[in-house]
Amino acid sequence: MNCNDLADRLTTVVDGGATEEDEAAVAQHVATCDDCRQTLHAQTTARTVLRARSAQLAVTAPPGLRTRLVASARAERPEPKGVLSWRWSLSAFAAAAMLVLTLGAVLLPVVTERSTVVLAAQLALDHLKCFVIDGDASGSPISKAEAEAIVQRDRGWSANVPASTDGLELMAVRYCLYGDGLAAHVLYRADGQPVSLFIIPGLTRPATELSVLGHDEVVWSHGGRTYMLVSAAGTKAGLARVAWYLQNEAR
Amino acid sequence: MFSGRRTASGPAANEDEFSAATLEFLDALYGAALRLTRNADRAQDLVQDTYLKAIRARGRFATGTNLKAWLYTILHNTWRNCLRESARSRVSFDSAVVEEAAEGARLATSGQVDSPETQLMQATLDADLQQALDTLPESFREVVWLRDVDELSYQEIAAVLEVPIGTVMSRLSRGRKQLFVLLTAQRERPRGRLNGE
Repeated sequence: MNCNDLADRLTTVVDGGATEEDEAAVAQHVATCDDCRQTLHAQTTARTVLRARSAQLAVTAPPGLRTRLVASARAERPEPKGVLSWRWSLSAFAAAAMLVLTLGAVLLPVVTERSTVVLAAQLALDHLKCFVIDGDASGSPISKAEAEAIVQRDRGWSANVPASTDGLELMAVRYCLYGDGLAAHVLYRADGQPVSLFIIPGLTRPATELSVLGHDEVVWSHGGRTYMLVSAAGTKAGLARVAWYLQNEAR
Repeated sequence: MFSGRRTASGPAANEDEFSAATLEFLDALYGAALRLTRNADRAQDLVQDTYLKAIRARGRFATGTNLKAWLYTILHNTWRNCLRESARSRVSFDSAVVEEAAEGARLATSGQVDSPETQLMQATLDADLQQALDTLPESFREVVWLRDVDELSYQEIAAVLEVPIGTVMSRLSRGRKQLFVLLTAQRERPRGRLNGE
């Protein structure tokens, strides 16, 4: 048998992956071939030594490398879906603020189509401020009882705040900008997307859906209160499902 | 009510799990990077590049296959690209000349063929073994290391190094033979050499 033909089979014998047939062929050949016998011996010895010493050969990564890696990966993570980029949110915030200032104060009880749009714009502003600028959606969810206790404590009136459900997380209760003193701002995350529910007591608005300032809103009234659901445009299908859930729960 | 749509927040958790699995091999990756770069700082950079690429490409890792081998593949790829891009000229250990020289290395085994390998194993100091490994041409050292220390299969090694399986086997054979020669030569040398002479 030719030594070259046997070389690979000899290596597989050393590595323990040879067939019985190959084992026999190699054994038969090295019995009469000094070179190949030496090769078999050298390979076997080298492999045995390395395997026996692999633990001693191992190096330990320097302290701090692990932390460095984790930090570098975190720095690379994209913004969570649905949370607008800072740049965009700030310019949108400025535009919205400008619009509200231009239109001036609106007396909420005056029910006109125009006043609903202005109110919707103001709430879109509050939604942006709390979620994107103040980062209120970044914590962990709170319970229905906690949320209702906050409304009771800070507003002095009770509200039925719909709890978290599958795909919808109750995050916080806030009072922002224009809504302060009037509306309770309940922050949810629907499949990771920020969604705001504003509960405005003493006000009844006709049910409607509208888009304003890059936001989709669903408006409905119940029990002398107006509910306005706000989320970034482009999530209409998801928003309708959230609205359906909240309309049933918030009664 | 929104069941099935929760994947929106899924990738983050998935990334954490993948990251943890990858970090299990941090020491191995660093060791491989050190062997390739021969420089602690560059080794850390290489591990970081490898880690970030792995995280980004985690969707392409086939569950159930060898994660360590997959990570090594990224690491070696990154290093090859790094060498290609760097302007500095470098002595190629992979040249045919070196391979031929290794092939031609005489096996200093006459009369020793039947002596048990355990003798050599016991007589070999860790430092000597490390030195012998360092002396091996890089292409041989990597194959031998990936097979005998990391226990990768021929196929996995071929993927890591981007060479045919036949090349893996021939380098493995030559690398082991050369390592054996180096270890045997060390053993025959007088012990005082660590003191300078």
